[in-house]
Amino acid sequence: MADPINSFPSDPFSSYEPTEANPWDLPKVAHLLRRLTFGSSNEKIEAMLKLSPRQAVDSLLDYDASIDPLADLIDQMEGMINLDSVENVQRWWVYRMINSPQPAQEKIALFWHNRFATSGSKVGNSRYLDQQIAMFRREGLKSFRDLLIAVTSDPAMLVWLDGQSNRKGKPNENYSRELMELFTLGVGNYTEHDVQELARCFTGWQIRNGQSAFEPKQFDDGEKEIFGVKGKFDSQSAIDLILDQSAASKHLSKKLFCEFVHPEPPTEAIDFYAKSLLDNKWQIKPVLKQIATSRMFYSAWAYRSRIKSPAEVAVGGALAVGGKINMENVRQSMSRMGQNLLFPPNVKGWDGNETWINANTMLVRFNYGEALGSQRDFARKTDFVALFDKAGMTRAENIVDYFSRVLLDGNLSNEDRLKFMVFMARGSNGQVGEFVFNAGNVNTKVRGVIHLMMATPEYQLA
Amino acid sequence: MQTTRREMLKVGLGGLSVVSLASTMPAFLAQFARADAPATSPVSDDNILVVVQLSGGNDGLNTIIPVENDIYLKARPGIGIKQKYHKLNDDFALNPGMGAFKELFDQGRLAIVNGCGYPNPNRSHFESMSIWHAADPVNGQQGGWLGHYLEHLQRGTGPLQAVNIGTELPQALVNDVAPVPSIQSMDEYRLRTESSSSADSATIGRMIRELNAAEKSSPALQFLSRTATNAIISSDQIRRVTGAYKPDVNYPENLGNRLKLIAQIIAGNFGTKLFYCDVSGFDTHANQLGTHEQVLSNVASSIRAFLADLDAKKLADKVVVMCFSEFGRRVAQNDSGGTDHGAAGPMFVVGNKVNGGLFGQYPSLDKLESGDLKYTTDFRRVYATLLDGWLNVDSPAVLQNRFEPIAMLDNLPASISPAAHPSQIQTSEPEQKDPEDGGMMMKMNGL
Repeated sequence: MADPINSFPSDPFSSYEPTEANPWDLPKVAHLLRRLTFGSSNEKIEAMLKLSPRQAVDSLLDYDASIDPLADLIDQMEGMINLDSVENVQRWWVYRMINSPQPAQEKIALFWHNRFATSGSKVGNSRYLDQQIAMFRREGLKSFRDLLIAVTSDPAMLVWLDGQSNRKGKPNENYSRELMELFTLGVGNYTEHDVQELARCFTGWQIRNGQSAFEPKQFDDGEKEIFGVKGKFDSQSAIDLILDQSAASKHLSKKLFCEFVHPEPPTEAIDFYAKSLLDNKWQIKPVLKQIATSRMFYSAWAYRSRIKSPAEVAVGGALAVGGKINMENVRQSMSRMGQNLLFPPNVKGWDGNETWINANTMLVRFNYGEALGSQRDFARKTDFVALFDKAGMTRAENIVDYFSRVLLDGNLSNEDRLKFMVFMARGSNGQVGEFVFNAGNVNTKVRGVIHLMMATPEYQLA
Repeated sequence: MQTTRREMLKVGLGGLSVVSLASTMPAFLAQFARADAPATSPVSDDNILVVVQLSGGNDGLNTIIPVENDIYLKARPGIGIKQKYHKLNDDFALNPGMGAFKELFDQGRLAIVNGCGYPNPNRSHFESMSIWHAADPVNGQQGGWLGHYLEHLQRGTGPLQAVNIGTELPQALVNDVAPVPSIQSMDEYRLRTESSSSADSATIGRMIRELNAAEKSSPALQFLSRTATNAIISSDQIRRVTGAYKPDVNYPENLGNRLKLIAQIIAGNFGTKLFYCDVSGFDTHANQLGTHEQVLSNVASSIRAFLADLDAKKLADKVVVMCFSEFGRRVAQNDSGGTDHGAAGPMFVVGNKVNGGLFGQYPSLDKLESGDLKYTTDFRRVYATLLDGWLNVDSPAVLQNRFEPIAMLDNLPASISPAAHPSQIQTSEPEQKDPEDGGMMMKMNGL
């Protein structure tokens, strides 16, 4: 990393070109995979190192969102899984985060889930929740305008922010307020009058047979006044009025930046990507590609600059360690770390970054590493003995370096590496001797190494 | 809906770095020293305050019901409560779900402060919550009022001066001196190492401490390693002293579980001064009658159980519970059988040492401000009364201003009686003395 850690890099927005001094290396690949997906296996890292940065980003984002790669799986299970309980929808989503061939799609869906934070605490219908996340998968990288239109009539959202109760002559302003305050503009960019008038534009949306339906009789087709403009607006034209506000592109630019680059976006970066959103007619994918190929994205300033979400800790750990994972265990662990999927704390979503961390969640993160390492509570074990034996990695440093690579980007200080070597060589009698490669030793030591590496402060950073 | 804002947390990140690691070491806990209370103060120095946040904006009008009030019933044809309520006097009654609070009220252990709020009410959950947390009606302050109290204590930075029950630290507790743990359950609040071999288990525990004690290069790494160190030490300590706890009552679910955990830590006699927890479900935009009654019932019965448990352990005299919400709701019901975001609402102060009764003027129902109740009592008066009269600190040092106390505690020290500082007292309350306004003057200290 050539640029200084603490400052925004020079020439931030042009694309990153690898050089000898600033090569396309393990930390950069791992960084990309952490930000656009949930982390990676060793195989994935190896594959990405062989691509150029541009190809690597394309390989993650150029999926066909109209086809769900896992669509047939539930059918094949012949009723063993159904989405009639919220917990099943949660487990199904965790499964997808870990196993989807398009993991960026799940990361984008989670990003929108947190932006349009809808909770099962009020939306009791698990199918609605699943449909909403599926909509985020489908629309998440396309037009923000279309996404807002889809969200406005989304059944889960209609329940969550009382859109069903929002009828002609009986406006309910819950959705219109949060749409402007949290989803698009931010406080200070609209008036109470705008909230009330906007609510009238969104009347008419109801749920019929589990799908949203427009009921013209319930729509208030009268004149409204929003941002000082008068007209017979409906939900689409109202959304266009909102997107015409200069605050809108900056609001989204800032949210994208905080999620994918750095939790403290400089004004010039917000402005740059706000303009880019407008230039691209609100298409998300080109802007995200622009971000993920920039010099800024790969700078020392952005590297490990925010704290991993529980999804990034839990799914990332599972991907790095490999093997079959018990989805229920991952789901519960994430929840105890503070991210109960489909149950954001409120309509603002999870605040993220530092707010993930407190004494309790810190211990839960460490204990997850312990459970993952020991494979306690997990369904089927990874055979590390066979894995290392096959690869000829039978010495203590091979094993330490392997886990340092998948869990810590290979960034283990010499001093800490030495501590791990001593740990590997400590026998059951407490004496430090020589590490002997056999099933017993591998299984005891590997669990400790995974636990320890996941209990470092560095592992907590994305 | 705890307010945990990025801007405020920067204070936490930068500010926490002034805490040396030494101050989070176990030895410190052994020496946990108490500042001497002024000899004349009637306020005990080991009092405990439990704050319960009612998240979402509690509908005050259906909590403390103005019974048979025409304006109320007309504004709420579908959700005005006409029966099964618990009468407090001729004019007011508790929600039908709050039988437990009626009991506490009759026992003189529940103070209800009506009409709490602030000028120019903000109707955003997050902005208004931040105002209550920072005790700053213009919402410019960072940090929180309980955090400022911890800073003011200046008697150490023990990890357990304050404990939050939940997943995110509320803004109210953000401070520069004392890391405040957020705990969800005792079972999770520990570092597990036991599935490794016994030889490795001890080594792993030691190595995790070392890996998190090393000098770190960035503020984020420092924050993480300090939190980890604090967590490992405080969890050891807290488990040691709380293991023997057995509840003496059956707690309700939800808030009850959180209060049970608080009772467990109180019973461990750890010296924790502040506890914080929240209960959600108050954002009642639609079909609110049943859900609102349910959540109020949970609050009232959980607090009654909590006090009963502490009573059985002879600890209840040390504890006061305060409940607040970020705003009340509109006077008129909406067309969904619910209510939208409004302004002023009641606060509750509960405990054996509370001087029970109704305080604060009930807001006028015919002189509304944009369809909302106009507040009559600056919410910071409740904070100030608890700081001076229960936590034994000089409230202006925490709140920047002096506020008129409310006679809701048994032993208010003479030093904070209104007469002592007449010129400095800020009541900052609207003129609302018109006897025709339908409001009702309650017993209020100094009036």
